[in-house]
Amino acid sequence: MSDSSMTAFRQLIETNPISWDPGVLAMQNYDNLPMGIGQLSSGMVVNRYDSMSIYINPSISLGFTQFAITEHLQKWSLTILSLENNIRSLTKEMDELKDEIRQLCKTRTFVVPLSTLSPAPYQITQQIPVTIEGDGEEFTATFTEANISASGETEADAIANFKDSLLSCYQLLEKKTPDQLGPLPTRQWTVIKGVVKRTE
Amino acid sequence: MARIITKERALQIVKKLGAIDESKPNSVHQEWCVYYNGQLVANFGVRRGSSWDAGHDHVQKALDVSTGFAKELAICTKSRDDFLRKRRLLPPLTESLELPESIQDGR
Repeated sequence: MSDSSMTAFRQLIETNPISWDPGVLAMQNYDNLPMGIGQLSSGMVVNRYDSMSIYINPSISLGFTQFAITEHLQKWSLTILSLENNIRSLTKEMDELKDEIRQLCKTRTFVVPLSTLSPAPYQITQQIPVTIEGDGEEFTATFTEANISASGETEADAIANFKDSLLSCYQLLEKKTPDQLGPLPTRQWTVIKGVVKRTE
Repeated sequence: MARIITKERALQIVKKLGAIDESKPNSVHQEWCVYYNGQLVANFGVRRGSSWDAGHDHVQKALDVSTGFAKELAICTKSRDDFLRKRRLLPPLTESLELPESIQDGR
């Protein structure tokens, strides 16, 4: 493109950008960043940011009265906007995954053998393996076989809550007749009555 | 552990499942029982006096469902019937056997 054409092109954009190119406007208004125009060999470069540019193929006719270039610019502008959105959404997802990985790294799991239920009038006939899972802020104590679990802010809190849940479950299920229990409570009762007994 | 099911969500699950409070007076937990056809199908505890955002991640274990299912149960996309289907107390939903109109018309 000759210098005179380039100057005319700049003037056209500066004086009346709205009527000339809605695609360019979309780029300018997207985050109010200015757009520059330069020249590279025989083609034209439309710059946006320091590192991003659109190179217009010199084989495309650059006649200012023709709208072919406008259409290309508009299409490319939209492509860039869509890429930007994709990058933003990927960055967000990556941050979320990082958080989840951090949480998983903090998670600790160990088994505590539970052997007392004092001070309640109940006794454990054999040690109950209670799985404690926690991430430092929240802990869950679970007796997997009986499907009983409780949460707490510390390991001790979770175990204390677990004992209370175990007894509540025992007291609830011992009052029911077998036909009042669904499949899960029936399984729970079979396991619980094998490990807990009333001392009074 | 990650506080997916908070006390607030646990109580939303209570409401959704139509659970009945059967707690004993001095317990630190409110014991909620879910019944279907007069049978107890699940029970779980909700801590009394805890804050709304206190973790209750044991609820999904007590209900024997996944964390995702429990979360959806709390935030409205899953219903009591979905829970009963999950527990195999209700028959699963079957897809309609009717053919699409285009096939019926021979198009």
